[in-house]
Amino acid sequence: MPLPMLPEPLDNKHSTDFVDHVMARIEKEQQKSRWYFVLRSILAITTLSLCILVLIYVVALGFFLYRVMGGWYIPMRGWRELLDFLIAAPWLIVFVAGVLSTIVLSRMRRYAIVFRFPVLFGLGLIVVGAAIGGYFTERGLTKIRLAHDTLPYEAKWIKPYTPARVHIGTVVRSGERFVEAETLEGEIWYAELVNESEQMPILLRGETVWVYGEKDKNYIRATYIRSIEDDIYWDGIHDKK
Amino acid sequence: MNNSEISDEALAQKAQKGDKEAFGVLVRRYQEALLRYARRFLRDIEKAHELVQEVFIKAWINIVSFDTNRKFSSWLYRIAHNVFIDSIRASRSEPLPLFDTDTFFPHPIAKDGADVVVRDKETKKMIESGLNSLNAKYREVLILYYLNELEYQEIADILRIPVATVGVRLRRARMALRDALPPDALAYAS
Repeated sequence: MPLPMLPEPLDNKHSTDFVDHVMARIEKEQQKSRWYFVLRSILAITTLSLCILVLIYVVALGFFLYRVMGGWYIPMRGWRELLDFLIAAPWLIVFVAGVLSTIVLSRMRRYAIVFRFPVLFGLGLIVVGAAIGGYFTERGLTKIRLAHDTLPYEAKWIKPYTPARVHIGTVVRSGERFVEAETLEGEIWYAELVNESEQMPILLRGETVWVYGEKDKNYIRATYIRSIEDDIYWDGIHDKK
Repeated sequence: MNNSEISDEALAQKAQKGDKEAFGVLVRRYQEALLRYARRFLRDIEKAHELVQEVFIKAWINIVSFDTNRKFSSWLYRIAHNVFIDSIRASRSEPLPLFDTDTFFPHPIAKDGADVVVRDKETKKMIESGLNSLNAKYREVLILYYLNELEYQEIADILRIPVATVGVRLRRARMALRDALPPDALAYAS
């Protein structure tokens, strides 16, 4: 029951009335037990840990898809390359990671250590942590991919955009300035390195090659050719075929 | 030792064991300060009394979660802040931003010089007369600093914002107050 209007500052009588009111209400109220708070803390820490683990997994998935689609290897030596590099990023995953980071930050700001920093610092810390964690976790994802030929959770709704100028295949034969390769789908293409400033890598048969350039039917005018010394391709997708 | 001579934290420890008398002493100690905070912040005297009662009830129910190594006043003020903000939100009496841009970016420590932080009667009077024209974010920090005489660190703990942000808000609040008050009131304060 609310008190009648009290003067300000409270005189002795009103002060006593106020305290009496509060004490009368306290008589009817039960204190929450220590267990209630212990269980609540355990639940909060578990939820937070799960959110962080999911965040790291999502970031790792992002790194993984970026590499599988070949966008990861684009050298950023011009606007066109930079644009292709950005387009190839799995933006849906970046968005999901952003939402998760915000959730983690908002949950963590209940703890004194976090709210003493500006939000931007906290978010930066989470993003850097997730990026480092994700990068190393990606190695684990790769191993799972190699062992089972699938991701632990193969998200069919994720359709990463492979840049039109990126081509990946297994070397069939190679020469001084060209390479012939076969894709996973069985298509054979021929890439000629037209960029004079680029050095042709030494390519061996069966090796995975990454080519960047305009494709016309089965011919690619390549500006960059590189061998991919990467687990994903070496013993994975292409060799399993 | 008499309860009135015991520290807040020691009384809270007693209250954690169910000692209602010890809690009563805490109610007596903080009723005036919390009522002052509520009246100025909520701008509704009747509601202020009702909500301050609510604050003490909540404090009693949750007293076990209070860490006696920390300051009791900050903990109690934090509960009060939450209750008051919830009430403003529920009544939709004034807009409260979902995100506070003040806390986003790092600020240099904006602790004012001694000449500005004078919390004398005149300054308080001037602040009280202009409080109603300020929005909740700035009104609250002025009340806590000038009228309830809390320190930057304590305000930061209560509002869960970095200490530097307290300084920034205070500075902006004073600037807003300066714009809102008539020139003769300012002359009186200075």
